[in-house]
Amino acid sequence: MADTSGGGLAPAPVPSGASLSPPSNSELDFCAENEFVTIVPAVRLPRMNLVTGTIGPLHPQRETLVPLWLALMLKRAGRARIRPPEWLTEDALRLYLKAEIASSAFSPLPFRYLEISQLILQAAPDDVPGATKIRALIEDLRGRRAAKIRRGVASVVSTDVLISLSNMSAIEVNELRPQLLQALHVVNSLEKSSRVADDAG
Amino acid sequence: MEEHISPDYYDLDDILAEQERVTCQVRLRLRSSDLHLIGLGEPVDRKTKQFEIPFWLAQGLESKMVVTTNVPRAFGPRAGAALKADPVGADLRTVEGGGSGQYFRLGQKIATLCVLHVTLLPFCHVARSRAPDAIRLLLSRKQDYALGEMLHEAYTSRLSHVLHTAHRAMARDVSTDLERLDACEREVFRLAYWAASMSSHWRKSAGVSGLNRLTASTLSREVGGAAAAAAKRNLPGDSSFRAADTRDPAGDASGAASLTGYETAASLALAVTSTTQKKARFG
Repeated sequence: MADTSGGGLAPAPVPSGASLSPPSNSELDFCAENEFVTIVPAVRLPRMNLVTGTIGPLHPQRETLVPLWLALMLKRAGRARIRPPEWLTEDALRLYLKAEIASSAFSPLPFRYLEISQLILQAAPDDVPGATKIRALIEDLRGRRAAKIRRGVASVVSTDVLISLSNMSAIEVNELRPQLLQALHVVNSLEKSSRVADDAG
Repeated sequence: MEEHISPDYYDLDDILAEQERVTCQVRLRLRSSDLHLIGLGEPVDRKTKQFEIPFWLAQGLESKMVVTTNVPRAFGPRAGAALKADPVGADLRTVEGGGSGQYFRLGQKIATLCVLHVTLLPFCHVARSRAPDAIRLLLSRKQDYALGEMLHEAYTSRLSHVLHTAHRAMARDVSTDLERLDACEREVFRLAYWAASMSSHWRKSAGVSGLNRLTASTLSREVGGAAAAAAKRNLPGDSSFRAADTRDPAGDASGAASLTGYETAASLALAVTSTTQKKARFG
């Protein structure tokens, strides 16, 4: 799928150093829309047998788990309300933030927390209580995790100890990938020359 | 001897790094006319037998055991100590003999060359015929072993600074910091900055307009909206949407197993719109 996130504002330069083409952020958005959320529909829809699985049936005012893309579509048509996932509440995010500050590990947020929170907050801010505060909390979490990642890269490259990448989200991995690969490539070639030296001695 | 072309042969950075001149010591009895073959015509110091040639030439001559390359001062123990003392403050672009901005690349080549030299030495007839010389050389090369490790350490201790600079570059001018980075580090900086700006662009694009982002739900909205408009005007739309339109929308969704996500989403959008229209008609 073409990267349309540029929109016409800024063309996306493709880094010549990257030989692999990792997914773009808008492709990650696309993947995130396959995650399931709870909705309260206002319409009746029969069971749908799709390639990816069965959805529904939907009954008015009965909570149902549906993929995010369907939830967003119904929400935009004014046919459903989205129940935000339990991690997307002010109290839960405060706890995550506290854990993020206290520990050097990443707090166990969902793999696609950035995409899902952004899609839901954008399409259904009225369904999320305290949407403005939640936006600020997510931004805070993101900033702290990004700082942690930057520190982690330096340590991963300088020592043989690996940092734990568990609980790192898709967008964060995407943001880290190009420079980490390049740095490891250089370090690898430098290491090779010193390792051959050890063998020779 | 088999000559193979390295994958970096056409790499401009590699060419720039190998242009750097290094001091070499002649190991054979060399007539002055031989040096004209090298093409520089520079006088060779008769006593020390030293002269300057570009690194790429030295590399070739060294593999034929004609010359011994001296490690440039920029990679010597003193430079190593300075780099260790203040890794971030060192300006790697202007360091003399440091590969003119290609410090790590040239350093890595020199480190490899020294190692190659030592491994080849015992098998070389020149070395055999002059055993004491060879042993002395071997001992002096021992110190050069540290070069690879020194470069490795310098690179890694500077890396966090490079990443930090890329992060700061999002908000302010970092050109003075950039001046001190070597080409390898600039590449990391460029990629880190690119990734950060893509990600910030992604965050902003969501706030401004969701239509910039092609996702399943936005696509269904656009395509479904167009199909619904076509149905409203009783115009023949796209064939797949027409098929969805002619059938009963409520019964159609269950038989949608063969449809892809997009088509289903589009026909669903159509179902929702036509339900609304029906309601409007009856209510």
